[in-house]
Amino acid sequence: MRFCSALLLLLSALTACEGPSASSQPSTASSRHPMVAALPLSPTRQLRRIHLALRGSEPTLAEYQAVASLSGAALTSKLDREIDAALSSPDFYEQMVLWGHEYLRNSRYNQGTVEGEENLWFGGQAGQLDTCPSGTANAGAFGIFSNPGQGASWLSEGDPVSVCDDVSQAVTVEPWWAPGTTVKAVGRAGNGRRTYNGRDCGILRGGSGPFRLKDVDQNGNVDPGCGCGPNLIYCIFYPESSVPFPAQNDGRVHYPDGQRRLIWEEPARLFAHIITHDKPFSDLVLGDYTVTTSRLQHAYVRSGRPFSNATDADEWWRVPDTKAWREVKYERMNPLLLAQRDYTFDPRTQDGFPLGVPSAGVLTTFGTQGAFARERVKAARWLETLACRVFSAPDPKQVFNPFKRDVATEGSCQHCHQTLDPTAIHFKRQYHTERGVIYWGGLKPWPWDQGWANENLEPFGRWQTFFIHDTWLTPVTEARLNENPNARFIDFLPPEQKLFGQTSDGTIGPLGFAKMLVNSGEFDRCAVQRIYSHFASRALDPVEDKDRLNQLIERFKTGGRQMRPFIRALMKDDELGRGL
Amino acid sequence: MRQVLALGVAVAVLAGCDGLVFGPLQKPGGPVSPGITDPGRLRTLTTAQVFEELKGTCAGCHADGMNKPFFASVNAFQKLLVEDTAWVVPAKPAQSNLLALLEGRGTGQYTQMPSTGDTFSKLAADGHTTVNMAELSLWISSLETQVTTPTGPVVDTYLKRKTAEQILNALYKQLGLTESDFINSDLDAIADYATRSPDDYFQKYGEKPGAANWVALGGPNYVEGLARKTDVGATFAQALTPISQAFCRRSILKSGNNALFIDAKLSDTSATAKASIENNIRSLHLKMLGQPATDDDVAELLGLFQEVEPKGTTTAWTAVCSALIRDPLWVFY
Repeated sequence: MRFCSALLLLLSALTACEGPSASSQPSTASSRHPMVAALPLSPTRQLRRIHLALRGSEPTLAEYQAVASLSGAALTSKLDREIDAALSSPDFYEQMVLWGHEYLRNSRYNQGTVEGEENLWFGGQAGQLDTCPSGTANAGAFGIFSNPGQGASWLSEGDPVSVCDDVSQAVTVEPWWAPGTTVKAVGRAGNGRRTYNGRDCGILRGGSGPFRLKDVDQNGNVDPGCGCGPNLIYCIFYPESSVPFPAQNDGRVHYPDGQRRLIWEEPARLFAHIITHDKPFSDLVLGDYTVTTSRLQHAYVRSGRPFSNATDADEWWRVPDTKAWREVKYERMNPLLLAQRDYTFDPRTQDGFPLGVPSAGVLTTFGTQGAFARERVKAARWLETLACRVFSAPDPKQVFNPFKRDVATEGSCQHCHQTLDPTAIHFKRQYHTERGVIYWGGLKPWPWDQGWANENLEPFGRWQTFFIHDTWLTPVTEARLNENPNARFIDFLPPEQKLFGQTSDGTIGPLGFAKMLVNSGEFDRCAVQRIYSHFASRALDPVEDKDRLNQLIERFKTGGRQMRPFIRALMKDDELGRGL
Repeated sequence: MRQVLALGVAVAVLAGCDGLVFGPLQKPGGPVSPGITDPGRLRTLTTAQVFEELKGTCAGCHADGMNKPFFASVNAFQKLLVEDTAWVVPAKPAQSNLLALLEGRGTGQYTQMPSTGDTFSKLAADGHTTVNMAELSLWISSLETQVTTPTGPVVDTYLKRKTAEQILNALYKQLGLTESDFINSDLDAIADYATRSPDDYFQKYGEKPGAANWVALGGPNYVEGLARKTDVGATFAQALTPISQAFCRRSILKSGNNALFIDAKLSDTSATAKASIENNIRSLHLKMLGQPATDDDVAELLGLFQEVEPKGTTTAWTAVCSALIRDPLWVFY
C-alpha cells in the first residue's frame, strides 16, 4: 500500500512538472485550482498525524487498533475528540515550548565565548549567600563570609566564618526562594535591614562585583551594616554553588534553574503560555505580562530595585510552586517596564527622563533583549520572526546614492536599513552586557555619561558612535543633543517616518513597534503563514494559496487571534486528512 | 533497497517543482501615457522584463517568504500584482494604483513605494533605477485585459518529516527503551549511537554524548543558535540508518523488554513458527508505522527476515525493525 501511495505521489509530481492539462485531475476539497490531490490518510494515519502534530509522540498499538475499523461519523467524532484532548494536554504545552524556541530563535542570553566568563554572572544583582561549614554550631546556616571555604581573599567583604560558631548570631528567616519554610541566617545576612546609615541596602554597589554585598565607606572601610533585607530578598543562594565563583551556576546556560538558563527559556515559555491559555496571540508583542519562575523573577526584581523599593514589601515570591512558570505583570517585577499602554515621551521637546518603557510581551523579555545584541540586530530578528521579512543583498544592478552618514538613506545599506532603522529606533534603551548587567539608556538613574563615552567605554561609547544626530535612527538635531544628550535615546517613530505604512501613535519603546506591526496586518499575515506551515506540513504558496491565505487570516482575526481554536479548525480541515 | 527507493520518492515529492504557465499577455504598441515626451526613446517592456527591472528596487521587501511576495517569481508577479486590478488596470495607467504608489500618491495603507525614503519615481528621476515611470506607464498601456492564467497541476504534499525530538521519542517508546540505555547518570555514553539534545546538557562541559547524532537528525541547538532542520538529505539518512539498527538491536537485547515481540518470541524461527513471525510483523507494522499491513507488506518483511535469519534471529529482527524505521511511513506524517 505504501509503495502505491509513494509511487502515485511521485507520478503526480512528475506529471505536474510536465504541465499537462489539469482538467482531468481531481481537485481537493478546497478547490483552489485544478490539482492532483494527495491521497486521503487511513484512520490510523490520521490519528498518528494528530498525535505527532499536537503531542509530539505517536499513538500506542492499542490506540491504533481502536480506530482502525472506524469510518464515517464515528471516525470523525473519534478524531475530533483526539484533537480536543491533545490540545488540552500537558504534551501540547511542551510542544508549544519547543515551537516557541523555533519561532522566536533567541539563542543563549548574551554569553561570551571566553571560558570562565559565565562565572562572572552579575545578572542576579544580589548578594551571594554561602552556608556555615559542617562541624560549626550553626552548620548549614546562611551567611555572607569573608574567605569562605577556600580562602578567596578577594571576597573579604563578609563576616568572619567564626560567626558560624556563635549560636547567638543565628536568626530564623522565611527565605524568598522557599516560602512556608524557615532557614537560619547568621551575621549580617540575617539582620533584615533595609537601610543603614542612610543607605538603601537594596541597592548593591561597589567592590568586586554587584553580586556581593561589599560596600566601602569614604575611608575605605568595609561597611558591615547592610544585610540581605527582609526574607533575604537582596540575596540569592544556589545549593550547588562553589567558591570562588559562587554565581557560576546562575551564569551557565546549561544549568537547570540557573538564571541565564531561565532567561533563555522565558520567551518560549511565554509563547506557549499565550497559546495554551487562549490569549490573543498578539499578546506576544502587545502584552503587559510575561511568565516567570521565582528565580527568574528575582532577576527582574533585582534589576528594577535601584528604581523602586516597592518589591521589598510585595512578597511576590509567596507562591505555591516556586519553579512553576506563572504569568506576572512586568511592572510588578520591574518599575521600568511600564503597564501603561500609550506612554509617550519626546526628548526632542521634553526635558527630564521618561518613567520607563511600556512592556511589550516577548519584546521586553531579558532573553530576547540580551540574545539579540544591539538595536539593529533586534530589528532584523523581529522583522524576520514577526513580519516574515527576509534580508538579503540588493540586486547588483541597483544604483545607490553615495553613503555619507546615514545607513537608512544613503549607500547600498539603505536597501535593508530603510526598514531596519524605523524598527530599531524602538529598541535603543536596553543594553545587556555579557555578564548580565543591564543598562537602561536615558533613564533617570543612569543618565548620559560623557566621560564614559569619551573613553569609549561600553555602552556609552557605542551609543555615541551609533546614535548620530539627524539620522533615521536618531532624528534629533545636533543642537538638541548638545543641550540634552539623553535625547539621543529617542525611541519612537516620528510622524515623518512610516513603518509598514503606519504612522506611530508616539508610544515609546518596543510597544510602539508592536502596535504598528499588529495594526498593519503584517503580524497576522506572518503568523498565519507560520502556523499553517507548522501544522499543515507545507508552506502556503504565495500565488496558488493566495485566497486560502486570506481566508485563514480572516479566520484568525475573527477568532480573536486565539491559537488553539485556530489550530483545532486547521487540524479538522479536509486537507489535513491527506498525505502519505 | 525498497526503503531507500521509497525514501527517495518522498524526497522527490517534497522537493516539488516549478510549473510556470505563462500566457502571452502583451500586445504590441498601444497608447502612451500623458507626460511622455519622447515615446520613441522608451522601451516597450514585457511583463517579464518589468519584473526583472523592478526586482532590484522591490524584492528587498517583496521576495519569496515575505508577507507580500510579489517578486518571489515572475509567476508571483503576474498572479499577485499584474492580475489584480487593485494594483494594475490593463491599458489604464492613470487608474493603476501601482503607479500611484510608485509616485507617492497611494491612498491605502501604504501611500508610497518604497515605503520609506524617496519614492520610486524620485529614485527613477535621479537615475537610481533601471526603469522609469514612463516605461512602466507604457507597459500598463500595452496590457490587454488580464485573464487569470491557469496554473500548473500542483501536488498537495501534506507531508512532514519527524523532528529529531519526535524520532527519539518514537524510538524510545516503540522499542521499550529509555535514555538510560545509552547515557548514564553521569552523562557519559554507555552504548553506541546515543542521541541527545545538546540543549539538555546540564552541568556538563566538554563532550556531550549524542549531540552530533542529534544535530545530524536535524535537531536544533537553540542555546547556540543552531536552528532545526527537517530536510531529508544525505546527512539525515546516514544518521538514521545506523541509529535505527543500534536502537533496534538494543531493544532486542534488553533484558525483559518485549517491545518488539508482540506475537512471537526471539527464539521463533521461520521454519518452526512462521505464523507467529508473520503476526508479529503485522503488529509491528501497525505499531511503528500507524498503518495496517497488507499481505504484501507482511510477505516482503518476512522475506527480509528470512534473508538475514541465517545470522540469527536477533539480527533478523534488527533488520525488520530498522527497515520499518527507515520506511517513509515512519519518517513522515
